[in-house]
Amino acid sequence: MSQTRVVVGLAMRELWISFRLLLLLTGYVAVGAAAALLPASLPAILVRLAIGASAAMIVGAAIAAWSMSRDRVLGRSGWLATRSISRGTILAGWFVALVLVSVLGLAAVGLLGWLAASTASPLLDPVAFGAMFGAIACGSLALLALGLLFGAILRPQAATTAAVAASALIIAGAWFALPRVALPVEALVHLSRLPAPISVAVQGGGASLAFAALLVVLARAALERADL
Amino acid sequence: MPATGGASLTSSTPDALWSAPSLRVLRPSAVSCTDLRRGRELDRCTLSVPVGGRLLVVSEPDTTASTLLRVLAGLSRADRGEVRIAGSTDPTATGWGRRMAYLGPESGLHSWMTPLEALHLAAGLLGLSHDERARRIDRALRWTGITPAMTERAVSRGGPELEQRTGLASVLIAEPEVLLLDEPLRAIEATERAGLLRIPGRRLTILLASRDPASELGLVAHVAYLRNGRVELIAPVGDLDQAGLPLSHAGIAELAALKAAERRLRRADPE
Repeated sequence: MSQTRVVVGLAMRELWISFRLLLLLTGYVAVGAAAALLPASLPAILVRLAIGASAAMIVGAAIAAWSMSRDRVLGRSGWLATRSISRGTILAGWFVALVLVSVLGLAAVGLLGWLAASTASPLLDPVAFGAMFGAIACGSLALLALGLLFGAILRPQAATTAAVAASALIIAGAWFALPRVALPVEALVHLSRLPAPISVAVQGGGASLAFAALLVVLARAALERADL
Repeated sequence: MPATGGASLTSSTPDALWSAPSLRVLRPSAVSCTDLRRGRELDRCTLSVPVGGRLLVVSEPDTTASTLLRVLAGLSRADRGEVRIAGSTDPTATGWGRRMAYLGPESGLHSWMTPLEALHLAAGLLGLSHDERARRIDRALRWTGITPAMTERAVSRGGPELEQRTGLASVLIAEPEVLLLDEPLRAIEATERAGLLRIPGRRLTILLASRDPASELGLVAHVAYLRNGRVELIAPVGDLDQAGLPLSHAGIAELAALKAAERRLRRADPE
């Protein structure tokens, strides 16, 4: 039996039974539905999608922090660890489970958003739109990793609060305070005006993946020292 | 029986070696820790428990005993020091990972799990064959008194008693050589709890951390007393009787004080 698969399965079932999976998916789908169902111009639709996706990603980070921390506090991670499942595998299992749910949610937002955006402007490039959502998905990985990092070191409430605050600060900071850095959600707002949108998406996605990798490494190091 | 400090004989060779007459006399160490430090809780804590030993661990403050067991189980990290279980310092599955089991005050089970699910998961992680899995699950269920009607009920619906029984069953499935019990089965009625914790096996080594030593009467042969993060006493339970002291926190602390005074006297006047 693959240990990572076991942890992913347990994490998915825990997310499902505790309604956290539903909360995350509902958050993403609600964003897409709001964009698709409320008639608006293309710039307004893109702004709605960007803000909504950012909010849903922050919810994802909060869920990641709560889940990891609660699993530690209730001894569930310890139960696995005393059965020779490494702490790294426990972290990887939770990360994969949360990524699967988030990517599914973002795919739904992207599809609903595309339906709305392509109706408002038939000239919008589907490849650029898809690439931008791919980059946003990479950004969501980074925020999930950030949530897991806080979950590895703090108790549930503190971890959740810290994850929400840090995620909001990162998004708002990069969006408003760093005008030369194109965050994927920020680039989505300007999608129709970008001269090379795919290049911007690839850059944003790459930077987000690098940030996510760094945070996963930090979370792994933190969990190695944490009490389970 | 256990002795603090000094060299301890350890072995990682199980079955064939244990049956050798010479080692039965020497009694290799099942659990040993040397100079463990962790914040203010453990301070150069050194302990050695031979194979088959059943040791009650009591501490001042109360949390230290739990911390020691959690460090031995790999759930909490020590700042310094070495832990050796069954002769190995490697906590992975190829080292002592599958030869040691831990049961704490929290079962660590997901509340939606049924006992059967939890036991199949525990057995699956051990990589047991189908027949062996069935045999061990059946044995664990019978030992812990989980009836067939309970096996399909989520542990959250069976209350803390079912959860703790399932926790114990999932530990027994591994048939460990070393069992670390930290305030286990408190939700279960005292007499039945004592019966459940009287786990057979001459080679099974048990360390039991408890804040209520009186409730562990008959379960342990020796008692260890930790104060300020250090082992202050390891003695047979019979020493308490001889000194006319009860198996209680105060009794054990008083025995530790008596033994310390004896040691001081012996040092002052070797004759």
